[in-house]
Amino acid sequence: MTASRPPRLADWLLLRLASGPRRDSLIGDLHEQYQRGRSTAWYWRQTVKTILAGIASDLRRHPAESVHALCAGLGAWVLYVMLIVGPAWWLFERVMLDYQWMRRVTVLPLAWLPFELIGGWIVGRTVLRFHGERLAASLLLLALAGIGTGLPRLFSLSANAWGYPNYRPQLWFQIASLAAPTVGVIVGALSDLRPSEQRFLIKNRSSAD
Amino acid sequence: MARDTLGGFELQVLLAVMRLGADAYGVPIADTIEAASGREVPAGSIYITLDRLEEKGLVTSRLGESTRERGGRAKTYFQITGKGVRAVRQARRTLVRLWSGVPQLEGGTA
Repeated sequence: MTASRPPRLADWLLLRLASGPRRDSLIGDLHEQYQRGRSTAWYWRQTVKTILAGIASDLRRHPAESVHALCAGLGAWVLYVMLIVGPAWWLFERVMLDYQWMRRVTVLPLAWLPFELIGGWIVGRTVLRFHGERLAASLLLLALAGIGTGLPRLFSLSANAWGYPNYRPQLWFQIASLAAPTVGVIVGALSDLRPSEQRFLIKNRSSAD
Repeated sequence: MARDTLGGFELQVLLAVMRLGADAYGVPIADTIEAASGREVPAGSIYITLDRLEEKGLVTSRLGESTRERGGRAKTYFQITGKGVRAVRQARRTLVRLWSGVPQLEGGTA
């Protein structure tokens, strides 16, 4: 026996992360089968398999587009750092010349995190804007790029912090500065106000009129 | 020409589309393949395969009606093209040639 409505979170993920232009028909098919008595576990299994199959297919069949998405995301990050973070950093430095105590209480690293969060959000929106139909594969490549650049430093700090507690604040800051842009990217990429479901409903409404 | 050869799952999907005729959309295609193979088929894989077949010109698609049990979402119907039928025939000929004369496949049930 199943509930009358499939899991909303699964639909939400499918609308944003399933590959290709036929997400609405795909979700409609899953709804139809669910109404015929498929279980919630089956629905979730289909959701996960559909997203993973889309990632594998996009990376295999459209590698250039996936790399393009990665470059667009990294390009947005570089521009953001050059135009916003650079001047902000310069300003912080000037301020801290007058208020040296701020360094000791690690105000600067904490102030830095919102910038990384916003930067991540911009990257996520950029990838969504240009590669919305292959979002999951693009996000996976971005995650791999982030892990590739951040993990060596994280690993070295972890090794240092193992024996020397003085390194622990740096280690936590490094973890936070990896997590903040990651959260920003996820929020930016998945917070589409008009995913395909809404577009579909709007299209149908206008054709009915 | 390698691009025009059919993979195993592509062939299954094309045969299901041919069997179903005018009623070929995601759900009956999945049911047909599941009934024949005994395996659960991810809906996403069917659509990915159909997209690929459409790119190759082996099937065409059209948007159909939406129903309440589908949450108001339209069906996408698929139809095989002449090129698709030729590709299936070619795949069948190739497989039959390869099957015939294989000692392990003749007579026994193993």
